[in-house]
Amino acid sequence: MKRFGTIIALIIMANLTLFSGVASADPWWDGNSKSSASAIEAVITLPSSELTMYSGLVAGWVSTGGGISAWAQTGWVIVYGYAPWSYTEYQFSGGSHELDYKSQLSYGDASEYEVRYDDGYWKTYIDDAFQDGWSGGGLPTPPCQMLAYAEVQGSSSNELWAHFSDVWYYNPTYGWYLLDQANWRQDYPYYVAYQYYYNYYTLGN
Amino acid sequence: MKLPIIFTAIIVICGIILGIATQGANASEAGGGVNVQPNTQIDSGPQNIVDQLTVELRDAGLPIQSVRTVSFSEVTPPVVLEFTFGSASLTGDLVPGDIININTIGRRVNLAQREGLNVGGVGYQIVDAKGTTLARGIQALKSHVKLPSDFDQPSNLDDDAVNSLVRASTSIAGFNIDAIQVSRDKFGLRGVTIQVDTMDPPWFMGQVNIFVPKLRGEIDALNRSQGAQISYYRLTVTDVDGGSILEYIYDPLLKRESSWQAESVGEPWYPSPPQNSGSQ
Repeated sequence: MKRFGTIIALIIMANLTLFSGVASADPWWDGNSKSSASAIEAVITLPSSELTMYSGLVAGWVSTGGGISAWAQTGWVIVYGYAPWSYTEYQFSGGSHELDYKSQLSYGDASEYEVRYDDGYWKTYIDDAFQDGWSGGGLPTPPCQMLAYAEVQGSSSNELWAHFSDVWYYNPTYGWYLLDQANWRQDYPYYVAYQYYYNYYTLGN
Repeated sequence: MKLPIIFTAIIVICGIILGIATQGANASEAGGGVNVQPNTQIDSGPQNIVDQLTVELRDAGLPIQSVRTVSFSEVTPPVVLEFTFGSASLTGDLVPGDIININTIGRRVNLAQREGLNVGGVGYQIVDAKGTTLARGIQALKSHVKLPSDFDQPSNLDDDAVNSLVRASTSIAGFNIDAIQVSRDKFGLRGVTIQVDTMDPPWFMGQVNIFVPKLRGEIDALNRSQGAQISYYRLTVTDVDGGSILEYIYDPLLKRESSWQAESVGEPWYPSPPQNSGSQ
C-alpha cells in the first residue's frame, strides 16, 4: 500500500487508464516515449520501501528505442534478492551486451538519468556525471525513438512502483523540451497514472 | 649576421632527433612490440605501467594493435586510455571473443589504478580484418575499486575446495559441466571459468533468463557464506558441436557483467527495451 494517498489523488486529478485483459508475456513495460529525439532524461524515483517480488527484476530507465536489437540505457534496477542499484547498459547488434552497476541506492532515492547522442557516441549520465559512451555496433542513428519506461521481469505478480518526473527530450534543431507526446505503453497488469506526459507513475500489484 | 646559421643548425639537429625517435617507434611497431602512443601533454602515470599491462594483455592472447592516451574532458583526470584491438568478425557484428576482450581490458585498467595508473577512463576500438571500425566505447573508471566486504577476511578455502563448491552449485539438470577452472591473477584475486555443454539448446534457451541470475546468486552466496572470494567468473555454454550459445562474465569486484548470446537465445535476464517499442 505504498503512497496510497498519492495514487488516489492522481486517479482523481489525472487520466488514469485502466484496462482489462490477460497478462501479456514476460517482460512487461510501462511508460511513455518520444518518437524522435537525440536525448532523453528523467528523474526516476525508487519506491519508498521494498517491493513485493517473486523473481526476476523491476527497473526504471531511459533508453534508446526504435525496436532494433542495439540500444543504450541507464536507470535503476532491483534484481530479486538484491538491493537497488543504478546502472548503465548497452547491447550491440549480434548479441553483445554489458551491464555496469554503478551505485547501490536506498529506497526512496531519486536520481536524474540521461541517454544523449553527442560527438558520435551515445553517452549515459547519472545526476549529470558522465558514465559511459558507445559508438557503432548497430546503435541507432539519431534522431530516433527515446523511451522512459519501467520494466518488470520474471512474474506479473511482482509489485511495480516507479515515479518518472521532469522527463525531457532533446530536439537537435530546437533544444530541450518536456515530453509532449502521449505514447503510453501499459502492459497488463501494469498501468500508468499521469499528471502530465512528463510526470507519471508506473504501477501495478 | 650569424643568426640564420644558428637557426639552421637548430632546425637540422631537431630534425635528426625527430628522425631517430620516429625510427624507434616504427621499429617497435614492426617488431610487434607495444605500440603505445604517449601524449606528453597528458600525465597518465608512469609509462611503464601502461607498457606492462599492455604486454600482459597481449600475453593473455588479446589481439591489441595499439594503445594511446586520448584527452576527454568528461572524466577525471581528463584522460582515457584507449585500446584498439582486432576482431575475427566477418559479418560486421562482434563475435563472442570481442566482448570478453572488452571486459578483460576494462577490468585490468581499473585494477591498474592500484599500481599508479592515473587516467579517468578506459576506451576501446574494435576493428575487423579490413580495418573497419565495428564499435567503440568509453567507460569512466571506478575511482576506488574496493574489495567487497565478503573479502575482508582471508579465505580458508583453497582452489580445489572452491572448484568443488562451484561444481556443486552449478550442477543443474540438463547441463554437462565439462570443466571448472579456478585461478588467481597477479593481484591474488580468484577467478573461476565454467565450461558447460548443453545437450538440449532449445531447452537452455528457454531457461537462460532463469539460469544466469541463479548462477550469480549461487556465486554471491559462496562468497558471502563460504568465503570463496571469487572476484570474477566466466561461463561458456556451447552445444554438443562446440557452437557458441552463451558467453557470460560477472565481475563482483567491479559490479559489471558482460555477455554474448546467440540470436536464438530466449528472453534476456537484464533490463532491456521492447523489440516492439510502439505505444499500446
